[in-house]
Amino acid sequence: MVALAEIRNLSFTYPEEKKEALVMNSLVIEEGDFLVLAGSSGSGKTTLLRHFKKELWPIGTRTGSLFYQNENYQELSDIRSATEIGMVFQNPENQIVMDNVMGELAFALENIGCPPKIIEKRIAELISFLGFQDLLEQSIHTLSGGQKQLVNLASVLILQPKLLVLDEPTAQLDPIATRDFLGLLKRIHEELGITIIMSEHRLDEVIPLATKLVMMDAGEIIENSPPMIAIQNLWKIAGKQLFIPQVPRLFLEMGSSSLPFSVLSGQRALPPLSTSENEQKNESEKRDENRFLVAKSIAFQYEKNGRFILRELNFSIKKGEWIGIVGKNGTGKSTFLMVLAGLLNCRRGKVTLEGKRLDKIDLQERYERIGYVSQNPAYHFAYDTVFDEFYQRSIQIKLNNPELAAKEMLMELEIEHISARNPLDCSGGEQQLVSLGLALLSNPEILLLDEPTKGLDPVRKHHLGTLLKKLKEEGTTIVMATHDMEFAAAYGTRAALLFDGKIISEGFVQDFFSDNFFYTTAINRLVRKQLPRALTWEDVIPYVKS
Amino acid sequence: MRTVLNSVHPFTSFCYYIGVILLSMMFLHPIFLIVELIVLIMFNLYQNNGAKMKKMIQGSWIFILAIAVINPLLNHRGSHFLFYIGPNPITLEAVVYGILMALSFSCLLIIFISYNSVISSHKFLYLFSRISPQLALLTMITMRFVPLFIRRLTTITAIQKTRGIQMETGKIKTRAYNGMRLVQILLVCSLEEALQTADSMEARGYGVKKRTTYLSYQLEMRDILSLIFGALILISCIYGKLNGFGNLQIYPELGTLGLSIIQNQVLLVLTLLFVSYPLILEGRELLWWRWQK
Repeated sequence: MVALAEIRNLSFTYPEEKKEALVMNSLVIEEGDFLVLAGSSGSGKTTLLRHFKKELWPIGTRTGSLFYQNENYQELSDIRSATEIGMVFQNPENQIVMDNVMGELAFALENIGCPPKIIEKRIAELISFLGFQDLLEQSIHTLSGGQKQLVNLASVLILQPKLLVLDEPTAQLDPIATRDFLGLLKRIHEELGITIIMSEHRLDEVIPLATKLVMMDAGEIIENSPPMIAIQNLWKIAGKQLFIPQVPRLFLEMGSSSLPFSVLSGQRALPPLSTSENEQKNESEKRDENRFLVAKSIAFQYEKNGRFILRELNFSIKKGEWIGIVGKNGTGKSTFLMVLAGLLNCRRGKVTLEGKRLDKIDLQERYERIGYVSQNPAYHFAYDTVFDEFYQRSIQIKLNNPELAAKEMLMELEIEHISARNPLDCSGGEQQLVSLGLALLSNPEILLLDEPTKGLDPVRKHHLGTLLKKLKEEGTTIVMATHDMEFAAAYGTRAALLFDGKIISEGFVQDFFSDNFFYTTAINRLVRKQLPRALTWEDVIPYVKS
Repeated sequence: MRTVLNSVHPFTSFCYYIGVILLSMMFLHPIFLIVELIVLIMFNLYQNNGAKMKKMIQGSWIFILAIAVINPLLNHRGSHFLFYIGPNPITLEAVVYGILMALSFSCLLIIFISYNSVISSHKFLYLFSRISPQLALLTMITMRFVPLFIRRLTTITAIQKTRGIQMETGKIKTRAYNGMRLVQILLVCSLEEALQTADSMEARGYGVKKRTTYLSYQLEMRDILSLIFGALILISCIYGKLNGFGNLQIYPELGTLGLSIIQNQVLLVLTLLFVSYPLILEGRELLWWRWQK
């Protein structure tokens, strides 16, 4: 094996920080590797990834040496670095420069001064390889998030790179789009032999593709080995079990010697489970009783003569329930939540809170009772420090002791360490918590959360789940739109599927997910023949014959 | 609808529009202008721009009327007095001149409707990216980010409502203050996101070498022929105009239409030919398909 890139004795410190962001003895990327980088947010994954791309080296003090094909990174020519090392980032929208797909694909080639003839040829070739002829003439804003991310990948591939660096590329995609994206990565890796380094929180889908799993913690590499060995090692480290994907986790919990990664190999390795007879059904549903928030045949469109995003949608939730709304990107989940929050007025139909129409409730009162958190936390911020955000909101809702309220909220969310920081300088996960805190200050009766787990690492996700569960037990009603089946199954009480502007199926989580074939958890797909109603590994463990 | 004019080289179609604009401003003569207007309307209808033209008329008929009316009200030159408004005489000459200006203006409006459906932003970029690739890139980025900012502001306005920063209720002063804050949030968020865009541009080698452009069109034989004939017609027209033909004499005394003069007849035919260029292309196409059968 030939080393494509290599890091020796690297240490890196950001300006005005005391602690090093990265400390590592050696990391070797061999040609043909598919290296997956895991670790909690703030563990230095992005900082490490940026070191593989000369143009994006963060500013700070750096010691040690980095090599690309045995050449020092500093001596690498600009054009070689640009063409041979490609980078794809997390946010699909922000990476795109041009307003149509063709222009975007040509952008990189124009930069390196390719003549039009060659550009045309390269685009033609790439399009045939990726098979997205129909996207070519489209304008960017008509594409879905998943398609945008595919365009981003394509616009890097067109330079014919040798090393592809991806920073949580699927964090903002729905499960289907994630699968498409990873499927493409797999083809690139296998058919073109491109070396890939990729950071990811949700290892479930990527681990079968990986040749190496690197785990980072506080700027250091704590694990670097083939996935099979790495997972077994992680299992032994306290606090890192949460990173282990669901399927191998189940087998580790069972104490099994084999360690399958995919549903198929899991099914083959699964021992017979004791299917007990006393699997009781949930209590029969009683509707129409104390319905709290009700949407009655609502319809919504963004512009006159535009497409109806929501059509004849009926929805209701009882007090103290936690409902997860799943569905593909672009089916109107975000729009639906905004209509429920009264932020968008529905074209037809009505939304009522305890029998009172939303638009009849005074604006101030409405958003004290309804907490809304968008999937873009940055849009919630208006002040310079995290503390100020909470403090100003407390004043705005006329709390008696705003300062205390702000402090208590910081404590409750365990984010006191970022109290004096600008909210926009916080990590994605922290931003998510700050925007949630803003909504929680007024003790809302109902929380509407749009993708609350987006970009969260497994540890923070677990923390968020526990926090929300506590709120739910105190009587808060929660509606969340999510792509995360595991999260919806583990914490929610009900789930609903939104498709084409309508809710087409709804029920208790067990009923809902066991009824679905694709939209369900990996564990359910694994054990459904024996335990159709098990959704998480915790559900399966009691049935394991020791 | 895609017409043949859409498929010729952007330089050819761009020159056509420049030429038509020149002609409709050069020959201030009722017959010339009416002929041009009719041909342009016909071509626009063929382009399926009927609805757009209707919208344009609804939007600017007052403006066109104003041009026709204001001239005689302010300008009292001429020798045929029609009537008086107060002490001010309204002359036939001023009325005719006003109408000619209105006609010429209507022609321009209709030319731009057609222009918009033929010269896409791409073709425009192609034409001007030769002159400055950086400027072309800037235009492209603006085209993507201005609508993005507008969508983003709408979202931010809605979301900030949940924390009381809104412009729907409250004192005017607070509302104005909140409005400023919303714009500030938009700018801060956009800058934050622009940093990521800059990273992605740099990662793909922006600024490594002199930029080229991928847009390419082939100059075909028909383009070259069209350009040569077009240039000849335009030069003859300008020559005629400089020698005083193709004009309706208005001041100090309204002249005749002068269509019996051979030079004017020639100019009229040339103008008609030039303006009908897209229709001629269309006819050629039609005949070709007819003969195929």
